[in-house]
Amino acid sequence: MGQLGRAILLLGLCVAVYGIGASIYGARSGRRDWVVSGRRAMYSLSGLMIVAFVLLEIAFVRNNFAFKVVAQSSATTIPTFYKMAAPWSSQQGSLLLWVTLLSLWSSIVLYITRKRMREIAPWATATLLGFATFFLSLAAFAANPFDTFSAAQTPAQGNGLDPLLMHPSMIIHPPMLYTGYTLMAIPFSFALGALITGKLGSEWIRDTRRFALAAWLALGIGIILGARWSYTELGWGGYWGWDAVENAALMPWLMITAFIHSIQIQEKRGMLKVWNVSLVLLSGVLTVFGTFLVRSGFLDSIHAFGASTLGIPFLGLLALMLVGTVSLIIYRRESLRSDDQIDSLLSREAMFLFQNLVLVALVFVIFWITLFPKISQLISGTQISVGPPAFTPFVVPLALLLVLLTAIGPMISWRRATLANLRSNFVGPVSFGLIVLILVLILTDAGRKPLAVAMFVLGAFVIAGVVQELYRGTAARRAITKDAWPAALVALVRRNRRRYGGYLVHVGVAVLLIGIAASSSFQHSRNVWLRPGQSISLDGYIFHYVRPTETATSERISLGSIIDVTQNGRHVVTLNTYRSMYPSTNPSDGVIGRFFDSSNADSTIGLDAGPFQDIWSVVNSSNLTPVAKDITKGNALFAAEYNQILKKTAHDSNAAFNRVVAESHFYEYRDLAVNGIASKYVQHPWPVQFLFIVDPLVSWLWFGAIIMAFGGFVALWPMPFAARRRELALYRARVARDLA
Amino acid sequence: MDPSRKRTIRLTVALTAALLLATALIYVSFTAGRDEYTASELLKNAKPGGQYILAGTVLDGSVHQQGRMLRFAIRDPSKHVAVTVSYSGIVPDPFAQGRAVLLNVADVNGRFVGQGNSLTTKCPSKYVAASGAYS
Repeated sequence: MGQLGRAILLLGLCVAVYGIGASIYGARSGRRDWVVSGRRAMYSLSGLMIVAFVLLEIAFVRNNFAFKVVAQSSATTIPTFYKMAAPWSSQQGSLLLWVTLLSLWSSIVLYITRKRMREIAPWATATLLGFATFFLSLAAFAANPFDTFSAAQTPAQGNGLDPLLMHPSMIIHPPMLYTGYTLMAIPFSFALGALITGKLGSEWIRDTRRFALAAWLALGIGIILGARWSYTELGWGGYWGWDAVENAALMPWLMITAFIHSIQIQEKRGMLKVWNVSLVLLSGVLTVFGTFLVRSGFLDSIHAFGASTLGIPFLGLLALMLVGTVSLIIYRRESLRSDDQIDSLLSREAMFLFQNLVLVALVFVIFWITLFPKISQLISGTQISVGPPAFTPFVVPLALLLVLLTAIGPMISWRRATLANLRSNFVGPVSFGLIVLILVLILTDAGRKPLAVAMFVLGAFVIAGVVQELYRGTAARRAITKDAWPAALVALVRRNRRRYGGYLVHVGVAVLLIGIAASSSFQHSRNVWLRPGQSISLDGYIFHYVRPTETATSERISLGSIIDVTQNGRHVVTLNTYRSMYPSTNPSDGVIGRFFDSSNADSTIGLDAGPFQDIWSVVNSSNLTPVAKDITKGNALFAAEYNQILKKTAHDSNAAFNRVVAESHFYEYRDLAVNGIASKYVQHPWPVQFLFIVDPLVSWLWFGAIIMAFGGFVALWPMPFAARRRELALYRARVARDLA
Repeated sequence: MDPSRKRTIRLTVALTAALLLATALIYVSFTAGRDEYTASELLKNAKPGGQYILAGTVLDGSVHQQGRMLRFAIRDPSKHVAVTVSYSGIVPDPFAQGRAVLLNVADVNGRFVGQGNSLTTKCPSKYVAASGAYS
């Protein structure tokens, strides 16, 4: 199966290289048959990659440890669904997944556009196949997922998967990120095609806009799932740490957000062509840059993801992309001139442009600070560590400005806002924002954090603006159709999914940012050591350590705690948190000690999530000092016993059978000893370390993300053809009226 | 107003804003950042009472819990030099021997003591083969 996989990779590489040649030749010579052949090369590549990925999945599911990648990141005892997710925990598997997804999305877009953009599409095909060739070359020659051991070297058991990765989020999180990254290649490739051919109208934007939106959606879902995993699995109580890998995903997401907004100006008014092309090309470059950061080990502090030899090829690709795109933009600068100009700073175009500038500034800030340790090392020779304090002074004001513009953008007129327009659209939402401000200042003590309060007010402004737009649209529809309110609202959204889906996304952004502002500004936490029966108070709650818990299975030993939380004498919730230790394969840990490997462990948090606050707890029960002597004694006893078994059965006529019997008894006693030591945690409990957190509005973050995703799906969902034509005509009439 | 003059004013405003942002960014990066030392650099530069950020990988076999104190050694990834530290704050789940970590330490009479909850570890979400198996 390994040989078949390797053969498929090489065949795929040949197909991709052929497709590049056919597409370019077809484009230059005007031979349609070659263009079609190039496109079909992408379909074939997609089929080959799906087969290759299925082969790898089969190897994982069947525990085929002859595959190096399976032995490295799986084991027989891992549940099947985690085995199926294990391929993308490895460099090799994730590269293969990358090419598979890229070829799949590329095939879909090339099929959809097969009768359109006849000049641009072949160049886009060649570019997409170029990306596929790059990643396929890495998979085939640098990190081959089908590398195998010889029969003699094949291990009986794999290393297993890191316990921290065995979390539902980690099944979906990486594929969503890769989906976002690979979808990003589509608008990039078509923009490049448009630049090469000089066909710089709105056609390429219209046909690839949906893919840009899908990339935005997938990347956004991937980022949020990563944040959720961090919050519930990593045992530190945070969801965002400004880590380089988080930033690597956030930067292209912000850039594509800017693109999704600014293309509307090009579509409506033929403006910002050079800006749009630059945004989409930068999104593509940032995607590859993020991949470079993740895979190269370029940042060799905690942000490094494992040094590898892949950095140089990625640098080469980045250089090629940057030089190529900048040269093409300069070459086509005359064709990229705007057809029109912004008439007033008080207009929707201007607001979109300001919003774009804020988003690009955010990307620049994040890019600079992420790379700063390396930059400082180049300048001064000393690596400087920068963390959240360096991001906050820039990100917070820029985020506030962004939310303000998010509120204004949909409500202000195109071209030039009049006083009547401003009064009609803004009085309601601004008043609501002011009411929220007064209520927050009167009812809470949030006034000590003015930036958080500003976010609450601006978030309310956004939500009120969207509600007003929906109300007006629904009322207008009811006046015509006499539908009931819910039916009229659904019909309104269905008739212009892009617009109202976008508004829903705005509501989601507001809710999410309110959650982030509240949870980061008003969090209370305590790190304490407690014995059973002891309590501590935190933000008006009493955390009482009721009793320790212990579970021992063949897979893990879990030592935990039951915590009762009360407020003013009233029971609020009972939390159960524990830390699980997984057996190590390190012989130096000893026969018993390998079951108490506190560094091969993960925590399960005790969480009470509510609409207004989360009560979060984690126990660090890996302090095994009280049983250290028992473990050492057990190691010595059982090692001696095992040696005895070996000696006794060495000269036995029925050696193999007797050894199996003796070993079976040995393991039985070993398990009893392990259980006995573990049960001391309950019988003679010792103090353990807890982290308790009371954090307001964290749920708003997840809820906001769900609203954003829902809005994204609404905007992405295609309208029926007739409705699309009707809506387009109405929209054009409305814009014409506005412009007049 | 003359459109070309208007464009020039807008460009000047935009460039000034960009310049201000860039200047502030560089200033904050340097002031908010702290020198990050490897084990060998720390041993060379540390002075009693000084506070530093120590970066490196956790030395295999060096992790020991002693009462409420966790002791482990942080190794310079490029040299065979390690510094032993004591730490009593929150230990993130990804902490393990062989994994890259960052820790704020203070030099207390030649001993290095980890501060607060400052231990951070490399994100494990990529390319981490487990050290253990489930046999």
